[in-house]
Amino acid sequence: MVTAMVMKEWLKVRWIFIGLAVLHGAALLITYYDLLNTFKIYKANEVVIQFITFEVVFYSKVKYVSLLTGLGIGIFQFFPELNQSRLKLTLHLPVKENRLIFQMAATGAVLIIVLSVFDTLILSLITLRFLPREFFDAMVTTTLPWYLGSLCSYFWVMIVFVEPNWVKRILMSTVGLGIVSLFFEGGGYAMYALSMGHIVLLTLFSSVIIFLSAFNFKRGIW
Amino acid sequence: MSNVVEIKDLTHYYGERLIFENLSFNIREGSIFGLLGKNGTGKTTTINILNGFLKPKSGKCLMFGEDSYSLSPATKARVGFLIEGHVQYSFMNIKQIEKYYAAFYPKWKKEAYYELMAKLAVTEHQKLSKMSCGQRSQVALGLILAQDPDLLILDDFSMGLDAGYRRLFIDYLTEYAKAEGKTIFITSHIIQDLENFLDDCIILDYRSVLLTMPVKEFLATFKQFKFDVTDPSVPMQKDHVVKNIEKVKNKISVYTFNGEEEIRQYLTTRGILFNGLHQVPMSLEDAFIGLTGKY
Repeated sequence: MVTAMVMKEWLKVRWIFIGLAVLHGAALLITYYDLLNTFKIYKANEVVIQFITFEVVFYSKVKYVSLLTGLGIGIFQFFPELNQSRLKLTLHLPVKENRLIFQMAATGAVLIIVLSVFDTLILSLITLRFLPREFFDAMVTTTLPWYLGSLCSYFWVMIVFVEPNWVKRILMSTVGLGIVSLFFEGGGYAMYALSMGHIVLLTLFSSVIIFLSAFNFKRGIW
Repeated sequence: MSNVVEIKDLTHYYGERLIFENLSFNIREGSIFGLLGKNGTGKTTTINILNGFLKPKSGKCLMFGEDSYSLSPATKARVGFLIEGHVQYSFMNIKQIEKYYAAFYPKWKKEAYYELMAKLAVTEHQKLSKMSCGQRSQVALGLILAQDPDLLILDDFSMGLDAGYRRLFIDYLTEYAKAEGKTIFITSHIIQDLENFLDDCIILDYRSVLLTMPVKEFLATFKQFKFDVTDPSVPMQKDHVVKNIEKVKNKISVYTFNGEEEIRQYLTTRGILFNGLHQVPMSLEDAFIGLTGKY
């Protein structure tokens, strides 16, 4: 049953996932060549001082690609469910409804995590190739909120699409926008190092709200 | 024979708008039950409540003895549900969608699905989004038949279908239901298709129930009489005898559960001068329109 559900979700998002994977690859490739050129033009110590003094995050492209990933997978996965109330087909299956919703959300979340892990691995190689170890540590704490923000934006797209009531949908969109924007604020290194716990809690909170939307969908519009 | 569906005193509102009040009916095991009514009388609302996709304001709705809002997975497996417009996963192809559903239903009958697909000019790898409305309806029906449910709930199966596909749909359902003793709960806006198909029916009006009875009994007892009046301005209105009236100049049609003699007396006692009173045979569609009115 899980395999069947994963197959259905994959069929909906496979093209956007492949497109996003190419985009992630392109963003990382550009990041690599930018850094390579920078080191060709300037001396290594000048680059490091510049990066530290002006807080130049050389992999900032990953930030926007991560946001796009959460939104893209969410839209492609849940628009077909919203369209003609297809979610009824899923919820009519002989499986507990919360389990079905969890399986759908988990499939999208895993795809986002795959791309985030890919980014982290490549960025680690790039960072360690050119810069001291401290930059690698900063990279992990700088990018983690973006990846969590990607997951969070995915959850909020799901919440908004599954919610059947338009007023609540607008309300959820506003709340979601506010929460997701918290993950992408600031431009320096390790901006969220001290508030990582809150960021993780916000992501977990968002993942729980999807069940509220599913409950509302099942309860119908009054 | 037990009831598969029991609906008692069901009331529902959308905001302040009352959809129906105290709706009650049962569906007998093995019967074919039609929910008929004009647009906006609450047919799809009833189906949504029955499938647990809407919590009613009040009342009870039981399916196989369970509250329809919180059906167990085992009970859901016994119910085949056709969503209005034959909605299915249009991004899947014929093979993928069969494989997908097969994983969820223990009694899955692959051959029932592919037997129906063989009648369509489609390939296994054809996506549903590239099919005609009629073909998609057969895919949706094939999936329900393969599920081998005890109860089939079909919401407006005729939507968007031409006469041929509607006939194919009904023929398949008839063969399946009669042969295997399945229960069918169906709505359709094309009443003529259901005439020789339904056992029982309920006819909904705006906010209320007009009638619940076996279709044969309805057709046998509900009558249309036509006559001419000398004074076209003669006042006539609906009451306990006359269920509906249609007037075109001096020609009047009345719809009633009473006999010709009773109508003759009814008109005479009201001082209505008439001639040429005669009964007109009706199809189920005529009777439906006669009872509910054209507007």
